[in-house]
Amino acid sequence: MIAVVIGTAIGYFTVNPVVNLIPVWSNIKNGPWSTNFSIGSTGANPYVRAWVAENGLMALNKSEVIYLDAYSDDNGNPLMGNCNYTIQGAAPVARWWDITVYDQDGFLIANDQNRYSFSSTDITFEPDGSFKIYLTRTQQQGNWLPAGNAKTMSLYLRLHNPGPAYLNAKTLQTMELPHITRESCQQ
Amino acid sequence: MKKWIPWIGLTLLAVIVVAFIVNLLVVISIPNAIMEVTITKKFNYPSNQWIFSPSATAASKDVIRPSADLLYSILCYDVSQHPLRVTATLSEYSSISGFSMDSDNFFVIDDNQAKSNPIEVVLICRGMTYQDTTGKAYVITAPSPKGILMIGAVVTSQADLPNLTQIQKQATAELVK
Repeated sequence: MIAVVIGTAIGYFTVNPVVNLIPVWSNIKNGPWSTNFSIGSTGANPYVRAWVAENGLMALNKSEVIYLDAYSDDNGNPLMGNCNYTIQGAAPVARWWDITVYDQDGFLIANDQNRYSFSSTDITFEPDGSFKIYLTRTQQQGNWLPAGNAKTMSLYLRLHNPGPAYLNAKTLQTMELPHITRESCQQ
Repeated sequence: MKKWIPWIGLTLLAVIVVAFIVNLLVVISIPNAIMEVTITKKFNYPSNQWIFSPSATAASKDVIRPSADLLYSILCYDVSQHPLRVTATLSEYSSISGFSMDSDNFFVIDDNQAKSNPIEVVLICRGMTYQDTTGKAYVITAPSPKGILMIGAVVTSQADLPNLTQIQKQATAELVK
């Protein structure tokens, strides 16, 4: 009887840590970016399915969209609202893509410009075809993604109908993805 | 003293087994619980009707990580009694998809894949049959009698928004009785 009570308590109170840990272990990582090919899939294990339900309900499967998230910069430091970042790199190979910034709760960040993201159809590209986004609290020239009053942030790179290299775990782990660089921080 | 050792071992084993089973059962129930709350509390839309949402903003709190670049149309389906026939015009980069009560994305068809545009989808429940006489419809068996259909249309520019909103509202839904 005691074993049932203790086991039930342990099983119940470890749900959240386990749901957050197991999908992370099975994620495909490339620098600060990570994804899980089971997102939205009918073949997802219960832990990935629970994580998706909690963190990105109504996610489409990888044939349609690959979702790459980043909670840190290229050096592994958390994305802080009081720091200035540049996100730059070659344009991802996908039919359409966007990069969105979220606050610590996973919601869009309020700002006067109502600018929450940049996409392949509204970003201004560099002359060489690459792109550069400024993620800061203060206004910047160019592709400015306002950090608003967020304490911490996360980035979501959505690739609609991604190229074949993104659908292979090995190539996705080694390919060039946008770099997230911390330029400076305010107190 | 030695007599207690097997009992302690068995008790520890029982604790681990019970903890694992409880953990797994709760984890399995999470997507269903979240879908139920989303359908009945957050959306609270009438069944089998398209609800057309504007683009997500900072005020949008129904779903974690909404996309600000998509125009969403949501339909909370209930095909427990009758098949549901939906039609929708898919603009460039848009798709129609279905989510069962365990939150799985059980189908997605985008504008590139659609065999006709407007696209026609007939959603049926397990055990139901539906004879498509037009040859144009996708007849799809939903894994659960209730769930969500979603059309996500990419807003390529704010200038396109009025046109996309008009296209969005052309979506239809009717139970086939």
